[in-house]
Amino acid sequence: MVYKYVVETINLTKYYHLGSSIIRAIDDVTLNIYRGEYLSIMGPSGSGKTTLFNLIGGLDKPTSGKVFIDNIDISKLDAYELAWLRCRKIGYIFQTFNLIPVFTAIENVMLPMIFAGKIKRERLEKAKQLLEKVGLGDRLYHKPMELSGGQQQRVAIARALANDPSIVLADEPTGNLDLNTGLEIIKLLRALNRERNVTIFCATHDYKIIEVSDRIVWLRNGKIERVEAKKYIEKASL
Amino acid sequence: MQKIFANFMLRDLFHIALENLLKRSLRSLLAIFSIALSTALISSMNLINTSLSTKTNHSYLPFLNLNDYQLFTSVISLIVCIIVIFNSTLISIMERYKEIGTMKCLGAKSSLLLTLFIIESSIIGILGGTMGFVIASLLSIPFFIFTNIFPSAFSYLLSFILSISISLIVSLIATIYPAYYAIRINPADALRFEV
Repeated sequence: MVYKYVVETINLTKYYHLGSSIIRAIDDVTLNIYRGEYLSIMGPSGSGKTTLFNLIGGLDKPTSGKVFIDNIDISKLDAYELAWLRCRKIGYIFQTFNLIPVFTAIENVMLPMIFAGKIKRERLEKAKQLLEKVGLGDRLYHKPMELSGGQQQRVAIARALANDPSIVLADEPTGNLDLNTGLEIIKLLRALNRERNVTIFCATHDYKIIEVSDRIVWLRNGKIERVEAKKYIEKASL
Repeated sequence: MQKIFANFMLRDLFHIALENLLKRSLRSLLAIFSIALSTALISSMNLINTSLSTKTNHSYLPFLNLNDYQLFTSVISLIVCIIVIFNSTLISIMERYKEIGTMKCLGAKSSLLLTLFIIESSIIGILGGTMGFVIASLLSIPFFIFTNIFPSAFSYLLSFILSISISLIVSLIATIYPAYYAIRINPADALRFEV
């Protein structure tokens, strides 16, 4: 069964206690993400982008509200099931790439597949294919230190796609890259989004991403300020 | 099928563990060496006692074949060894804070990480135990030449098993807390963590 929405959040709230004051990092956010769309979360720093990323990615528990991924309520899952979900349903791309430094590019891409229990032949084939897809067919056996920032982010993108996730979450994917490299990464993500119908959720404050997104959610002080839809999704259901 | 799958996982984990140890080769060597020295102490005393048929007075730890004062020094050396390994393992896990967080984020289960740390400490333990046994047998040779009594192959074997098991136990004890610490790492915190 394929659901129309990959991610649904209902009255999602996350408070942090900082001394005696309460920080409302995410305040009553209800958001639906369509399958196959490229959604960007924009907002100044401290507006709750990363918190939303963590909540949707199952890395953090909400104070109240619900997150559904493929109709699974992730707040009800225990640690073991969450690990399963993170492994198979979600791909992560980080600002700081977060590759494992002792592994080569291909081993980094194979890592999520090891966790998913795939056999070696399958893993190798898939990892090669993905790395060729992101344009690193000739860098399979290089370690992260031997790759440029843009190339490292490409490896990270390949790694995020390793288990064919329902959604790819990207937290400032271009934050550590220069202008041109950032643009290449954005184009690559867009191409993957079109070709493989990967749903992409991108938290960013890089205005270059606006041009390629289907929908842009503006976040301010933990609340959705406005939603801008482009092209076919005119009636952005909020 | 389940068996094959488990084997694949173990081999991959072994590979990861080895890479991690090699990356911090100096610290791993120090840990191995400290285990080796403390097991060498026990193993050499055990060899010498066995070959001389020294009357030892321990009924509750007869397999060690040690005297009171020998047991005392061994325990002290083992405690020092545990502290050294504890320290180096904890530092190596702190260094990998972000890495472990990333692995958890990508879907590594706690049991998998635990297996990884157990493999790492077992590698240290087995290497240290073997090295300790070699040091002990080399160091006790002059003594045997002097007394002209040589231990049998069987007592060498016993001493080898003893040193391997002691070093394994010691390295596993020293990894309990660091592994517990690593398993409790919250991926969201780890990803924010800047070295």
